[in-house]
Amino acid sequence: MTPTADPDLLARAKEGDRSAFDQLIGPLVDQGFRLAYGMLHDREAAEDAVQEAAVRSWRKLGNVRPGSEMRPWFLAIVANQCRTTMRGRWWSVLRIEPRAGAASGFEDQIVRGADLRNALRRLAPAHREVLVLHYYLDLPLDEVAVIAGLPIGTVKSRINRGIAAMRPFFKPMEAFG
Amino acid sequence: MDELIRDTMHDALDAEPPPAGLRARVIASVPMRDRTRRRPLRPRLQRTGQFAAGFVAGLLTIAVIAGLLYSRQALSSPSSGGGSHPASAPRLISPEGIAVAADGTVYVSDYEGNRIFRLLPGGDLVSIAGGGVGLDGKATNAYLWHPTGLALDHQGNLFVADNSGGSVRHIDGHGVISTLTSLYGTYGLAVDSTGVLYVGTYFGVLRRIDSSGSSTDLDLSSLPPPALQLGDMAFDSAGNLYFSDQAPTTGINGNPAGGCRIIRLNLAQKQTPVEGTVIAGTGTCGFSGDGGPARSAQLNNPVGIVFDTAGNLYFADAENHRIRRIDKNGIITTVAGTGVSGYAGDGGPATKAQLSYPLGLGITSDGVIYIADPNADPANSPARVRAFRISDGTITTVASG
Repeated sequence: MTPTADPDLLARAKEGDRSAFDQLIGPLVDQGFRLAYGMLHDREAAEDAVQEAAVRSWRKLGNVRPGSEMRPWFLAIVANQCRTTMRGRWWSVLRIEPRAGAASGFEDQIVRGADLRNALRRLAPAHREVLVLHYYLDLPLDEVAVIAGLPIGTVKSRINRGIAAMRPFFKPMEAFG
Repeated sequence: MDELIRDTMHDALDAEPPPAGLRARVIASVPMRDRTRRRPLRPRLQRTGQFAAGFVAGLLTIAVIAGLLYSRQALSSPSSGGGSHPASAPRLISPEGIAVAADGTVYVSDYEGNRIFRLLPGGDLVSIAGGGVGLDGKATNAYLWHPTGLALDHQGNLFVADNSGGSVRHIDGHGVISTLTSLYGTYGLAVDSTGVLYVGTYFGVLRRIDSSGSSTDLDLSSLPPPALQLGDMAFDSAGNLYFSDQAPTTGINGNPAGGCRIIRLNLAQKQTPVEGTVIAGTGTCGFSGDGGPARSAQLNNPVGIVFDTAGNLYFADAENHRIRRIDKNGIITTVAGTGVSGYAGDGGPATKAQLSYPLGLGITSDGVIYIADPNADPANSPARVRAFRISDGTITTVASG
């Protein structure tokens, strides 16, 4: 359970009160960026996605009922914006090709991180999204389901498939675990 | 395994933390405005809700009758001075920006109706852009989101500040719309004598876009505080750019932008930062100073700006419900509105007439100023476009919603 939309704040935000909107959405911006970066692997695109998601969330604020949870609602808009970005005409052209090969056991954390990012990039976007939500943002499966707009069974299935696809990356690390 | 995945994902992705100040930038980029001091929902929207409730209740027949009654009522609503409205025609809800072409054609942006209208001589309004779902292409199929300022160039191209849409749109002489630039919080527009477009935003950005499409944001750091919230803009005959700095809306950290001023920029000197002078307003919002120097007068949310052929500046002092003039000697005077929000006084002297939150202005070559009069009380009276004749000081209504 995450913080819910305070009725007074929500009413004020719907009236155009920027500070009320900030109190509702502001605490979720950094988390939105982490989700967007996890999905897009591009800082600039992630920042754009969060910015666009904030604009969209303001536009859709009228749909939020008092007492609703704000985090899954906002992160769902971020995730949707990221999907839109990845569908863009130039997205596949502009992305840098991932490095081949996994990290060796002696590479430092930064290299290991870069390799995991490459491994994530190679995943299908649908699998990447649920892995980032569940393992990186530490969200429970039911909240991931709300954000991704999927039944919880499908979320579990996608997580399993995502892990399976990344298993070659994790195996050498398990050995040093 | 779960912990391993979790840890390694944090190792990988924590290396790219959110940029510093992201929250403030993101919240500031949302093109909202303080609706608390603006018009409430128009009655037709409330009635539409009742209409829908009838459907939900399964009272189909009653709902249809109610719809017919509503349509009749809408058609017979007061519209003094305005033209007739076919049942299917979109109606003016919230006029915001006005532009007048060299041939006298008047264009009006409808902020809440998300359309651009052309005003016909009889008072009818024809939708020429917005109301659709598209982006670029045929303008009447396009989606606009809270259009505000309008400007025309000498070739008849119409520019639209698509405020909440975060862009400036361009409509050519064939009715084709395209996106000129993306910019959050666009509000005022002005075109100089060489066809260069200037765009102002709520967030203090003043962008210059030349005919090749290349753009530059002007350095306004030399202007005195508070931070700017740019409203409408206009050029004088010498090529100086004047813009209104609106009233502050709710801001972040209790430090909102907007100083209730009118500022002149000397663009001819091409220096950086741009040299600017406050010509009206003290930086504190209010009402005072008529008959004296404009620099010492208080304004309350100045918006639309136009110049007459004699070089006098007129602006809409929105929250004072007045149109005020600053003459060439810098003396400020109210020329329309009593200061009380309302609708009254058509056919008589404009200083005895009531306006309600006037916003955009447009002026013809023969000295008629069109006023977007959106009305702060739409439950009792529709939005209107009024016309103030400089020569005799009278006011009339030329179109209504």
